[in-house]
Amino acid sequence: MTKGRPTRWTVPALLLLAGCGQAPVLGEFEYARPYGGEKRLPARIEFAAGRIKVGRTKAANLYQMNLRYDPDRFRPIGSYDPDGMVRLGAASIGKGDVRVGRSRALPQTAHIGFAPEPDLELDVLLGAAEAELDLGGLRLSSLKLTTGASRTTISFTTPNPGACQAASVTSGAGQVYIASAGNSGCAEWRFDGGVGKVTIDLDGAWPADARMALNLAVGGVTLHAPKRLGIRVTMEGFLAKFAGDGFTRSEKTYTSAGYDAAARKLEVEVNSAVSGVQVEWK
Amino acid sequence: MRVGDQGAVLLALVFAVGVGWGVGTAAAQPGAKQPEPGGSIELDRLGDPARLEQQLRQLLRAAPGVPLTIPGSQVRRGDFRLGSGDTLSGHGLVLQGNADLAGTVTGNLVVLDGDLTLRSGAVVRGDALVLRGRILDRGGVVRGERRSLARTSLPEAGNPGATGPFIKLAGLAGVVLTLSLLGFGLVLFAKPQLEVVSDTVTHSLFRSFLTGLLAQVVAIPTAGLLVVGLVLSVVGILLLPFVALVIPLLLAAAILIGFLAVTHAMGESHLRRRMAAGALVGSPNSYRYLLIGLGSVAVVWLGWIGFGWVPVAGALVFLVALVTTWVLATIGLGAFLLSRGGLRPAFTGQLIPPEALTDEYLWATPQFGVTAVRRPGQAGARTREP
Repeated sequence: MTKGRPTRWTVPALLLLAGCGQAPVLGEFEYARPYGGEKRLPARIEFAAGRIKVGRTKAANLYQMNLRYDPDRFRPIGSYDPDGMVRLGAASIGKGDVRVGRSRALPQTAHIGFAPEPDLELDVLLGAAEAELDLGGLRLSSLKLTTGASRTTISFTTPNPGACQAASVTSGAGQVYIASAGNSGCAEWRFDGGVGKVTIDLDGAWPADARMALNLAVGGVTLHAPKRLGIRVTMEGFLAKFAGDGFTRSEKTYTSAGYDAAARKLEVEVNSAVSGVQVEWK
Repeated sequence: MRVGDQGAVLLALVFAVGVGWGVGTAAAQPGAKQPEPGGSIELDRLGDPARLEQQLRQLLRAAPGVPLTIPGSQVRRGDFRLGSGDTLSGHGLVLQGNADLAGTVTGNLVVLDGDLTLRSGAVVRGDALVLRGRILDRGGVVRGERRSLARTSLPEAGNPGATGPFIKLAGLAGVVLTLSLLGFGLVLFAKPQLEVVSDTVTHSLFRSFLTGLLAQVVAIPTAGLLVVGLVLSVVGILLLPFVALVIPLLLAAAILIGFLAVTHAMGESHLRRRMAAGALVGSPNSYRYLLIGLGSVAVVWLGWIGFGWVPVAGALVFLVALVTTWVLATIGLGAFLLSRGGLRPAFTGQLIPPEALTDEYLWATPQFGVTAVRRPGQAGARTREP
């Protein structure tokens, strides 16, 4: 019966055509506040998935964010509390379905900037994100970064004009690269890592001596160090191994040549289950 | 809507605006409050733009085409322009149009379904919020916060919704083509073994599935035990890289050959049924069996490509295709193992050994009640005892 065929195939064909015609829509959110002489700025960034860049503002804003997000799965975060805390980013609205392949994920991006004037207390929470944080030139007073399965780069291209008390990085299963850590001016660094790789470039101004605590489960840490920096590494943990030229070993402590005479000293304490620390001189 | 209804809506809006004006005056804050079941409209605080947009759209739906007024403020439908030197006192609300500012707004400014252009000299002393539009800065100033929420469609090149089915279709075609070529290679170089595995599938389907399932369960522990054994033997550590490479390869080959044998069996069954029904099918051969079987599996995945985008049903179609393929692969793996890679036809249903079908066997083996035929050219020869 040829007469029945058009009816039989019409509905599936229309559904197929409708499927082809679906156009994904991105939400765009812009949020900014002009700088009004604020002395300090506590800032919390949440970003579940996508690419995020954090740096200085281009205009005379206290903060600004340009966000492109998947409106079906995320909502923009943008609020400024009366106590002066800003919250930025994109949070999940709990409607995630099965999106296995990256090709199906929408290109979610966030560009966030902060003014260089106030003391910045930065708290960043990342999910499955690719993050670039260029914090050079910002008056960073503290940094707390928590990442899930992400690839994160934190760079300090210019010295911190302020005084950074502490910086902590907690990484689940991802890669963390820190460039010119000496410019951060942070007196204490702490890394807590699950499974992943941490690379730290120790170049920079180093306004004072510093301490670095590396708590790692499985993974590796590579330190790229300038020769003018005195480094002492204390290894604690099971199956943790150290590799580096020009170090003198004394039980669990490895001390670089010329440590006592160095203008700036870095104490590194490694607590690791199964991982290694490698020091490469620049 | 009837004239009477419009009048009632207008009356309600005027009443609502009057209440809002009263509250705003009492609090010495310019603004508008609209008593709605879902809450009231607040232009003083723009911290929750999603809720504000929802409220404004509810208002627009309730009073389409009705002019709105907010005491101490300006409400405009359609495009709005504030010239240089002009001042808008209080908050401003622009609905379904663009706002072009060169003057001063003393309060907050909200634009719904339009863009806000801030020209040189434009000043918004409060916050600026644009819902479903953008803020175009041409040298103006917003002294408070500026927010804009917009939607944009992805360009065609990065539109997975439009290109998705075609990419998937191309992927499926590639997989089917690859499997077809591998299958043809098997038919060409190992046809007897492929047929044995295929016959095992046909005659011991359930047994093959159970065997395949068991193999999947024990594969990883077995490999683990093997690795541990090699490590414990110390000398065997040297073999670890080799074993780590060979075991996955063997497993993949078994699954692949088994899967191809299943498609072979599917095609053969289909063609034999058609021939039994009297259909003229041309030349039934292994190449054709494979193509028919692979085509049948591809049809299941075509269903997902076509309707995978449909919510819920799409996921179900995907699940069906995945489970079907897994079941076939499991059966194939089981048949491969049962037949020892096509070398042992114990489960092929061949109850009579192949040699029993030869003329030699028939001549040599007397059947009950049947006198053995004489071998041609051997006059007087007697039938041998088996």
